[in-house]
Amino acid sequence: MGKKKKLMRITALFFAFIFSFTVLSRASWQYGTAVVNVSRPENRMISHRVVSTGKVVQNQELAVVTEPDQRVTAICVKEGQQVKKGDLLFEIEMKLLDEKILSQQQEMEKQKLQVQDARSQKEVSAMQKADQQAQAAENYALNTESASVRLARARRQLSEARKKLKDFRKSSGTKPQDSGVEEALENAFQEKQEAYLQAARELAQLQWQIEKAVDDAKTQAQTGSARAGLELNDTVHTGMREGSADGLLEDMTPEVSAGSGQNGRAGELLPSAGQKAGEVSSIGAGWEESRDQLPESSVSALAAAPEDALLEDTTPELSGESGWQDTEGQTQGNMQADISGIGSAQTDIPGTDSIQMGNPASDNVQPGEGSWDDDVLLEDDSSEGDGQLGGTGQTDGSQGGGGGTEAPSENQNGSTNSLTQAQLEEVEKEVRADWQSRLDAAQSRVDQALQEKEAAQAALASYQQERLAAADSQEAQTEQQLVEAVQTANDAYVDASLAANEVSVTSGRAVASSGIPDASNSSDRMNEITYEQMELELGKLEELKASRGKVYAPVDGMITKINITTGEKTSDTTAILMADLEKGFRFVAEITREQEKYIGTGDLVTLTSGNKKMTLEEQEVTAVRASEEQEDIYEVTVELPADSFDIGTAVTMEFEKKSSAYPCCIPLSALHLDEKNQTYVLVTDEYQSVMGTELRARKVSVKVLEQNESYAALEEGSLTSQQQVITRSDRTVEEQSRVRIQK
Amino acid sequence: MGRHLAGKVFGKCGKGAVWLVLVLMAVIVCFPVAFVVSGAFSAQWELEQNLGPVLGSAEGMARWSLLPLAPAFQSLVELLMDSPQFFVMFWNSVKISLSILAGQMIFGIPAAWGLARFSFPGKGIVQMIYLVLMLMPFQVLMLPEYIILNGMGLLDTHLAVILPAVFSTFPVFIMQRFFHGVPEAVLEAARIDGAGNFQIFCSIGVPLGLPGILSSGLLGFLESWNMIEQPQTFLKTKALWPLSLFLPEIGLEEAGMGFAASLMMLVPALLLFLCGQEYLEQGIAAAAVKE
Repeated sequence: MGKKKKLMRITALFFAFIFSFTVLSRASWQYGTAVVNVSRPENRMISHRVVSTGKVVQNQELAVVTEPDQRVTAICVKEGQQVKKGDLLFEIEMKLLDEKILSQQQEMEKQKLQVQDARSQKEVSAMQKADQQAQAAENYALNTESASVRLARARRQLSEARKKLKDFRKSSGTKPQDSGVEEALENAFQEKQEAYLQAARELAQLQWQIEKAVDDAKTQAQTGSARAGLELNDTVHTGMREGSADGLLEDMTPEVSAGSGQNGRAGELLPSAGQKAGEVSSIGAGWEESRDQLPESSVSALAAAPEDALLEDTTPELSGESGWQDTEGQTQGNMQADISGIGSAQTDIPGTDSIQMGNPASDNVQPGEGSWDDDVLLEDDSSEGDGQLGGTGQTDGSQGGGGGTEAPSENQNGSTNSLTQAQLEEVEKEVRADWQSRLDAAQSRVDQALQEKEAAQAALASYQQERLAAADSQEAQTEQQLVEAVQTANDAYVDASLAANEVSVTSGRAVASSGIPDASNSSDRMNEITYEQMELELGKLEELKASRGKVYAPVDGMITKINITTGEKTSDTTAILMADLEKGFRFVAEITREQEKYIGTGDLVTLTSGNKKMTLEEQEVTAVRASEEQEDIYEVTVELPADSFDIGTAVTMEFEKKSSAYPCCIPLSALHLDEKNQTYVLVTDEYQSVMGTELRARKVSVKVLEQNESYAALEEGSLTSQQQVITRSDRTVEEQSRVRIQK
Repeated sequence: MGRHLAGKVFGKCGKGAVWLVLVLMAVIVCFPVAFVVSGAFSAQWELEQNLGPVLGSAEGMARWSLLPLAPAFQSLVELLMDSPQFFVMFWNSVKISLSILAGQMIFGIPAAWGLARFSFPGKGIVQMIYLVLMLMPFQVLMLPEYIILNGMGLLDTHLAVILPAVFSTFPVFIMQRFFHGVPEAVLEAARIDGAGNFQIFCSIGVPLGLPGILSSGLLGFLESWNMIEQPQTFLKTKALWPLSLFLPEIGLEEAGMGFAASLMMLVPALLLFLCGQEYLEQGIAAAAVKE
């Protein structure tokens, strides 16, 4: 029985033990359950509140400057002080100012003298240049004249030789058929020789044209617009008439082509030469006369010439040619007259010149040989005409050339954009390359004509030798000598003709070269500019003196910075920096990149002063821009109305931006981030367990659309409106953690 | 004399052999209990190592050591302190078992008395039905019981487990045997003394049949304490489950707690067995005796 009681007691104890542990385990269970706060997703707007503190600053700062190196004797303001327009800011020492003014005046006087020196130097240079050009023109005239004389002499000798041969044949009575064959051979030879000389002249003309084109290109490249420069600058070189090398050279070009024309073309070329002359603008009275006289002058020139007898035998072509030559000469003379401004006196000179040149050639010309001689003569004259292109009419031409070639130097003076030597060489190279094919063609024509001429000459010589060999020995010997004399004279004439061409080109080149402008010299103008600057500086110093060394506030404002010190000298930087109160104030605050998303230009903000004494509502943001000093910081600017805050006041800006309504918004505390940086929330789920209905947490991945510091808007459908989201818990809650909702 | 001595020695040897066989059998029978006890005091890692090949995915053969390599109270503490579910189920089991016992006493004792002491028409048929029902396993009765309980709206309540057990025929059958053993003379004497049927039942029948009642109660308790199929079939809500369903919820990871729970589950049955051992034996004997 005792045993049974004991067993009963043990049983009772066991149950008591079980009961106590039931209680304990339940307590432990409850202790292990997280107590959480939950909320359900709700439909709401996400508002973003931007709060930042900034300062009131001035809209515009004004720098008060004064002349440098002045001693400050008194500063009448201090930083932060408000001043009215006209208030005295600071004073400077008058004695030092007076000294400075005096020194400045002396410096200006020195500068003035330098300006005068530079001007004088420039004028002298211009005159030297003009003289140089005149010299080149004179040389040209002399050279061409001497070449002409030599040519005339050779021609005369040729005529004499031919006359002698003709006379001898007349006297010896050569058979007509023999004379006919020989004449045909002679004519062929003359034609070939003529062709050769023509080709040689064309080559010389082409070379001349190339040189002219090179000069033109260089001048144009250097001056830009030569004529414009001419019109602008007519003051420096007195005594120089308007005109340009360009004009001269342009005029010369048609003359060259006219001069190179054959007998038959002379008449055609005449009008073009006249027309060209007519295009020249300022034509003197003499030119007018000479133009009127052009047809007659050719005739009168022929009539007046002592060699008229010779010319009577010549063909009409020849007279036409001769007339053209005269006219050409006159035309050129007229053009020279235009350029040099000399007038009618020159019109006669080219004519005279051509006659003079014709005189020696025609003196001994036999009537029967006129045709050949005159051809040569006329060719010669026309080449003379070429020579006149640069400065025809000797004296006049040299003047004209001088006047003409001076002009580019004026252009050069007027121009400031001078090119380097390398660039000029480049220009020259290009021009020469352009002309090279024509030059090569002309050269080949000359070579061909030379060969043909030599062949014709050889044929004539061979015929003559054969004929003479068959004839009577005494007469034949004499005729042989005469024929050889003619050939020798002919060769001499050809040589003289070629030499004249060469002289013409070489001297013309020298004239053109002297026309190339000198390097620019702007020292006089630079000195003038320096003088003007000094004048301005003196004006400022005198202005300061007039105010007795006192500097006043230019506007109503507040002194923000003083850079000068009493007793020290002023520098050339700002003396006093002041806020211009008339231009108003603005509020500037810094916000973060995150805040910058929600505030923009035009938003209305509320501004409250630091001591909360003043609040301005609905102030418009005028600018939001990135800070230049700090990364990820933005500056918000609000223009302030007048009489609002004082400069420097600390002001708090508040702004609230509301989004559209989101259907699924949860408190931000409910949002978590997992190790993969994915956002999730914990919702409570009910479970049936041995312990009854219990709540457990469950992870739900969500996508956040927008959030502020309190709420986050989730993508619609992430959660149902009935789900309870854990917003707070008294311990860490994980997936499947037991939770209990705190009521 | 020698023959007597030889007989004596042989008798002693035979006795020793019997003992040996019995002890061996006892050890075999007791082994599961020892298994449970040693498991309850083993560390979790040791259990996983030993039982892994059977319960988990480890390779090799399951092992067992009678004394744990790392004795620990961890499982027991965990069960007692951190498993309120165990206690919920424990008390559910207590509630179900005691309710069943009470029901069986209320309805079974009068029924058994009536069948044992009264004669009425159809008594034989009733007894036959009782006997047949007693022999029927739960699997046969499960569907009809489910349908009836569902019809009564009792599913998923403790009554779904309690009521069928209250009206079990087995206790009636046991107690009928005991009541049948009450002498008729005693009952006659009581009747002569003027006692009514109810008075005779209460004052003579129950006291005289107490061993039967107790043995029936013990058997009933053990049956209801270990009941698995009925609660599993009729109870969906885990909170209503008895302790017998605690162990099926336990896996290898909680093997230690499973052993501790088994040990705790064993204790009340063992205590009751020890308390009512003689009544239990009488009850089992009564059930086995053929009339």
